[in-house]
Amino acid sequence: MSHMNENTLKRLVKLLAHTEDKEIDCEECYNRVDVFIEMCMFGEDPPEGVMPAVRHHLEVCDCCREEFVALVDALDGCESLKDLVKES
Amino acid sequence: MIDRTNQEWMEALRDPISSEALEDLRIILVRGLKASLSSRVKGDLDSLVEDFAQDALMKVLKSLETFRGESRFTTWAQKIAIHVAFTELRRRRWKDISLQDIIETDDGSEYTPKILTDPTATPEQKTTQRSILEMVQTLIDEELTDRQRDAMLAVLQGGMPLSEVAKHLGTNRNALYKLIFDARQRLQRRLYETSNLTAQDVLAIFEDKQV
Repeated sequence: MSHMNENTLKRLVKLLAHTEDKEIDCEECYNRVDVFIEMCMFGEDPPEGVMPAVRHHLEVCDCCREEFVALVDALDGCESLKDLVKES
Repeated sequence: MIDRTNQEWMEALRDPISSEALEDLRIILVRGLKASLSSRVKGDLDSLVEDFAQDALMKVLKSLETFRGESRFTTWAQKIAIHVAFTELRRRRWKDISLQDIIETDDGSEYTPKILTDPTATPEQKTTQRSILEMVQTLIDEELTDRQRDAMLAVLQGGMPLSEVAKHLGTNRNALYKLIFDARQRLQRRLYETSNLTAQDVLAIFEDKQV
């Protein structure tokens, strides 16, 4: 049986600490990420509080986060938007 | 280029499609894709981006009636273009790599925590960290199904995208996310039961460590 190496285990421990009772899946995140970005870029509320379920998914899903960061680049969004969603 | 409202974009792209609107959208998608991909891909960026933009235009037209108007039309269209591009880039990157290759590639079959030599951790921290990591490895071995274990190894350790792992496992990206989510929940519950620690405790123990 293959084992996880140390770095992977450490990342997993952190991921477990950020695992929620309910999480949205990739499709739901994809359906809402354009709205999430615009609310962060142009909304009146502080971006830290915008659509927590989408933000959480982006923090735990590498593929969705990669596309989110690329979309920020495509929209010429500010770099700080990328920092809003950090890898868990 | 005409500045269009969401409604105007929708009307222009419904049959009969306005060739001017289609060309304007293509230009927007190409510009966005270039900004996204210039630092991420090597080779002929212009040709690659044109191909992705064409594929994305087709998908936008096909999905037009699913646009709910909650964001700008061009943001929604660019989201589709990014997804089209990354799906294809991931497919190309991983097409010749089997799941077994990924799972069996390890930086050491024997688990030896290098954390013991971390100069920034106190001896007590080192012991606690080691204990938690060993506990998690044991839980992975004992609590997860083979499928969950393989999926987590491929995604977290191998860096294989969910969509590609899903193909190998004969499922889809959403179902795979759920499989791994269930595994994370099980490991989380058992870890906290076994160790009597909370999520905050665990994060504090690994604070300031490169995770």
